Amino acid sequence: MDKKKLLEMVRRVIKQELNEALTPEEKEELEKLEYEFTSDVRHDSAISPSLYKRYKELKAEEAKTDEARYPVAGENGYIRVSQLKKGDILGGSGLEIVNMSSGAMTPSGKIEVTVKDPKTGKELTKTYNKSTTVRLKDKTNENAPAPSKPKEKPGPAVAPGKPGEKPKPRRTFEPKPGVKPAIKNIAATMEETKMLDKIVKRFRSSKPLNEEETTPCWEKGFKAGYDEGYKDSQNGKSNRFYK
Amino acid sequence: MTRLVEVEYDKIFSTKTMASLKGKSGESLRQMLGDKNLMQTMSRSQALLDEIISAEEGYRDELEMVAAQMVTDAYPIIDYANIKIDAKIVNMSDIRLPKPQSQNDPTLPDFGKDDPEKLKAKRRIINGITQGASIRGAFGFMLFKEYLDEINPELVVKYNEILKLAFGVYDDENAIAMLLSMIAQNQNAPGGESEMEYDEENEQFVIKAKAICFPMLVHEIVKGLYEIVGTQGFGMDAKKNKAIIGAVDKLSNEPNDLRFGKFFYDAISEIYNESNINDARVRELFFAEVYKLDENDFISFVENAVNDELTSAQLSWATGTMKDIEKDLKKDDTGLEDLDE
Repeated sequence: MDKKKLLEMVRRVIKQELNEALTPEEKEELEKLEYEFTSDVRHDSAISPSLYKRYKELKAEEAKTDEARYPVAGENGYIRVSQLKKGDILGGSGLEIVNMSSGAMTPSGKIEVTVKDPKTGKELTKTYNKSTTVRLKDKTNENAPAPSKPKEKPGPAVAPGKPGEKPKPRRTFEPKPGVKPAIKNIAATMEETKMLDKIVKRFRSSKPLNEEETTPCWEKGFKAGYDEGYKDSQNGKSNRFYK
Repeated sequence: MTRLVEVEYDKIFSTKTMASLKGKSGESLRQMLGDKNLMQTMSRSQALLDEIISAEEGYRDELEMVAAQMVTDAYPIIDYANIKIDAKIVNMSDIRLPKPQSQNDPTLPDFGKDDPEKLKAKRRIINGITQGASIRGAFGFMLFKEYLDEINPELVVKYNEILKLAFGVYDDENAIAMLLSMIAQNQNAPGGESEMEYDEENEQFVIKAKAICFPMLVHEIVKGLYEIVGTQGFGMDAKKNKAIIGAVDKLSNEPNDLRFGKFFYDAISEIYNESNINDARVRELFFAEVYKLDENDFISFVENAVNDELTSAQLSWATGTMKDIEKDLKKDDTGLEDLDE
């Protein structure tokens, strides 16, 4: 008998024995542990311990914020900003949504949301990109206190007498002579504006990345000829397209 | 005039270290390929690659952007050191086959007191670490599983499998022999390429990476990052640097760099992992400090780290260096100069 089959058989027997020996509570605990193990990013992957350490740091950072680092709508309490409704509470800051502009957004993809800080009672307006996803407070754990808003990271040190100029970091990688020729033309690299264009193009295309609805509401209006709002926005006026 | 000859790992390390490296490689082979033989691995890799390329069709723009962003998140040193990333998913025909380098090296510089053999050995190990870091880093996409699941829930499983197959073969001596033979005949088909350049005008390093699919692109970006870190192992003499690169940075060295380099990387990054420091930027900056050690100290440090036999002096140096780096980073982050007190 080959080793693999033998191991599988042993595992099956142990599992059967365990099932008979364990109480229902213990079984539940075991299932939970098994789930945690198999859903862990380390399971069946060659991820290194140092990256896993970073993973835990990122998860801790993520828990303190409202916005997802990447668009992950539909899972783990994340929804698109455009799907927010009055009364929703953001998962990171605990801010309450007091007003949404009925899903209206500008062609540039910005959307405005009015929120209330439960601690101070003050209202403020937040502007999000259309594609942004936010995390809602876990409704199953409503008694838990909302995590405090992440502290603003202090900006980098500013050299005296040179306001606004970022000083060179203390630790840098110094270029070494003869190691690689200096490039003369930086144009070949991807510019931020180009990157943004690519994303906008994607969200305007008929094959969206994450949209539940295939055509954004403003695009529907624009295609149908109701482009006054679009023109208004170009002239600096507010616009409204409704679903 | 003499020519710099190549340097192999078994000439650099002791028999004991080589035995340990080969043992780790054997374990890695089992972990990465399971019970698949070489032919099964190659055929499954090709089928998987076709499936991945097809699944990524239409998402390349996002995946390029996401690859750059993910590596920046996983390696915050990129942001701190203001490194620019230019990442592209391309067709296989767009990946250049590296030209075989000329063996002629007519103008050997005067190495003075430096021992060229030791300099080459150091460069070879650094190249190994670069490859090793990029193998380990390629699996970094697992950190962002939720996002990738949104595109296609099967992608992450396929990415994981293709990377294990693609890099697992480098732990198989038969596969290495075959790959070396393909390289000699210029028949190898790389899945990506990366290079780092220094933009003097903007005073920043730029990583240029191309690959045929997303996980390979992540791998190439991380390789570019570690190539930048690797430059810190050079001195300030351009002629010596060029001669060392000419002698060591060869395609034919890559299979064994990929095979053993991941264990050099693991050994050094483990020193960071076990420290009480929780600032991922320290990791790459610590590698840079290790690379700045002189050749003898460097080789001894890496060898002892691989064998888990760092001396107390080496451990104390490593701990002190990481703490100094962390302190400097805190000063940069907070703008406070009096953190030394």
